[in-house]
Amino acid sequence: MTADTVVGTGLVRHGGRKFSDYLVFNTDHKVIGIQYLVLAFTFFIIGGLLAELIRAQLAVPNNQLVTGSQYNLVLTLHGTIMIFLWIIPAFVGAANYVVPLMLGANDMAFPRLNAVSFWLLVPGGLLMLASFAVGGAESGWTAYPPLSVTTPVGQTLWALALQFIGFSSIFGAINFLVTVFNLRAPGMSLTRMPLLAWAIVATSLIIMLGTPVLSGALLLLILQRLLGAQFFTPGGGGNPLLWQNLFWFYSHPAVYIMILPGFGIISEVLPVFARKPIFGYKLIAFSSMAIAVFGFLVWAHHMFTSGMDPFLRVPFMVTSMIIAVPTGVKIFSWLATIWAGKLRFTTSMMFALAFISMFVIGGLSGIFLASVPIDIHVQDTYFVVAHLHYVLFGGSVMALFAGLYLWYPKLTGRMLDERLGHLHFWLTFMGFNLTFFPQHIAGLQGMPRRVYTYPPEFWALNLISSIGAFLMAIAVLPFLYNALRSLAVGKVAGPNPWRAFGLEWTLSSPPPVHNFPTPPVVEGDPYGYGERPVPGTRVVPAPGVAGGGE
Amino acid sequence: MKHVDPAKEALQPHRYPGVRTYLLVFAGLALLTLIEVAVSYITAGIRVPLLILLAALKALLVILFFMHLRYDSRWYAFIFFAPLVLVIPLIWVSLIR
Amino acid sequence: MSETTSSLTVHGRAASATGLDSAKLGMWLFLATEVMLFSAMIAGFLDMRGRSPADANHVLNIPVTAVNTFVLICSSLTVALSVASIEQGNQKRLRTFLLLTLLFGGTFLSVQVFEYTKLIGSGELTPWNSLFGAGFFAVTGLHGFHVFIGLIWCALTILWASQGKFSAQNFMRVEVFGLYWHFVDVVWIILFVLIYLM
Repeated sequence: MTADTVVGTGLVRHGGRKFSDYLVFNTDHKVIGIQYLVLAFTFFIIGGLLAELIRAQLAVPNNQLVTGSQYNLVLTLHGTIMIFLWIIPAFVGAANYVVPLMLGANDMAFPRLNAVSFWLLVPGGLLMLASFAVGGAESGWTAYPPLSVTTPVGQTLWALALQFIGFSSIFGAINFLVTVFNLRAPGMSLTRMPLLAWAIVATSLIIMLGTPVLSGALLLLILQRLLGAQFFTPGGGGNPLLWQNLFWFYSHPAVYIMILPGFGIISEVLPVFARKPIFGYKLIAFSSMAIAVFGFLVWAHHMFTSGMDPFLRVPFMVTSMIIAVPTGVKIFSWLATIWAGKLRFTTSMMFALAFISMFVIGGLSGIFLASVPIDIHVQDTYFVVAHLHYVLFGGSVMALFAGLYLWYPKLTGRMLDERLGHLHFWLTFMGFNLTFFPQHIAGLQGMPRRVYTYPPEFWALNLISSIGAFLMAIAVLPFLYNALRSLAVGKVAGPNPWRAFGLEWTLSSPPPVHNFPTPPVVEGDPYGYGERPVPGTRVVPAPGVAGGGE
Repeated sequence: MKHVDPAKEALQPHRYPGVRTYLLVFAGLALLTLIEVAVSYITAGIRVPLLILLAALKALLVILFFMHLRYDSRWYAFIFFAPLVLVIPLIWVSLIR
Repeated sequence: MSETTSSLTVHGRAASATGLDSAKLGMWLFLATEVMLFSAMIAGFLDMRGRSPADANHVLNIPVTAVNTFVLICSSLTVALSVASIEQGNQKRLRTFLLLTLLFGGTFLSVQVFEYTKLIGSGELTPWNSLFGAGFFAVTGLHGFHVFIGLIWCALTILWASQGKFSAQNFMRVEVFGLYWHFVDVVWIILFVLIYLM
């Protein structure tokens, strides 16, 4: 790890002068971004192994691989880890790295708070793993009482872990908002910002206003478990719906926390590889904000069957369906962006295209589920499982990979191998559809979720799912191999391997410690493909690029 | 050197209220607290709305004067008060049985 | 945590594209998150209050708490005066008013601890014997925790003040602490009415 001597390559860069700098408190947003990504990817592996365990258990009916109680523990940790320790922090990591660069800023607004946010995630992750080791967090990631107040001690650790992760999120969101508002380079007006920055603003607003409500709910849960207060148990006068209300007030907007940054990444990837300006810039930006606001007014659609006042069903059904409008605006804008473009089918682009198609499937099944008469029938069946994986994996994770393939050269100075990338993509894509498409059918036929076994008539569908899940696990291997190998032997990327607009591509790869040696001045919109020359593709490199910032 | 959009507010010395205003606000807060306690002993149906109104008034006094929202950028006021729009459905739905 | 790039120039340019101070903007955003936190707690409390007997709060001591509310209002005044002092560069009065804030805040918290021990010790109201008690201790406890954090922050601010870190041109840290402290006061103003008087 002495890449220091090599200009513009190697991970040992940024504020991290040596490898160990990545293991300690470091305030460089680029180092923190990589810390987030590595931590999140580690949890992706852990959560993935748990998923494989679930699919192994369900490969055949009446399997005795794990007990029902162990199965509950595994599915709880799988859900919680994938949401709170993979998707959310992975997006935070990617945004941490690229958003300040995109805005022409030299760091985040509060560099030390940024590091604190990351280091709050570490005890959160460790507590989560401890809860798994101790056992007891068996009530699903939604942790509905009364089950979640009667389970063993691991559930308390689980709640504490989420509390840490929540604080990490809140501080991160405040940091992003101040950064985007205040640290934009001269000329970078709000409507010249890359759409990822807009997406991060919308996401951060949701985190800011939603996560504290989860913190409050978790505080009550912890108090009930430790002090015997009866907040959520009817026997003591409490109200189990209170938990559901507070939990979903956060957790429904949280699904937009998990998808809006993905929308932002897709809006960055498509113009680069279609060589066209983004279609409908303002509509995409404002629809993110609309989703952030409306996202807060739909939460009770998770509770149609939980005994809440039936009078509330219709308003929540209507607001839920309205969300489809700003989402549809984005989908059509993206389709118009690639329409008649000069498409380059890089791995990043493949993931982005898969994102659009898979997310549309997940979105449509979401509209199904928002409709009260259908929801009452398919609530808590595998149809819901299929839906949420189409948006969270087919949507969020595909977008994450699209972003990783786009920015890996910027992070490391090296190119990823495209052939291995395509292998990764196709295995993921096929495995994903094989796993989750049959679950729509199983769900409509009435197979309940969160049960450790099933009647024999569901065997065929479940076996297909399990084979698909196995493929998805295999798919990670070429990616890991590719990412690690390319660090050392990948083709040197240079400042702008994709010939992309965006301030991050005007810097060396990886960028120098303090980002911009001279403050950039922004003069045009961020997606001028085909309209003006791409900076950094001139014969003479821009100042501060070739010399690695010297 | 400085790039500050002239249309927006610049980083500048504040025009905060003086000691006299603070003392007046303080006196108002103390008086309102006394009124609250007195009101809490009446039994008429107006008690609860009156108490809420008094509390809101006190909170506003602190926010507008002590926290300078009356004198600072409108953005701060927006950031602080906008969440209340979401609080209404949250509390309302939580209370429906 | 309060180290910011605000009101500094980075490579010769102003750090704020909006003209708003970063530290202050960050603090207001943080207060908005606190609004949501306490709103969630209040929503929960009102639900619990509705499920409890109408006279559930009769065990609470209104006169003592009214005086305690007054003490907290006094602390808000002294914070406001400390900001006004440093605005005019008066270091001595800054320290005096901050010390008074620490005193008033400490008094408030002590009275609250006294109230807790009395209620729980006599068994009149505990987190585990009634839903109202559970809600009461959760909400006032969370507020008390915020006061506690505020006291630590206040002590730190006094330390910085005695090191001469503030001046008439540079007192954002005092102001940001003040915003937090006033907010905690605002929460108490609401809680006093919702819990004790209603």
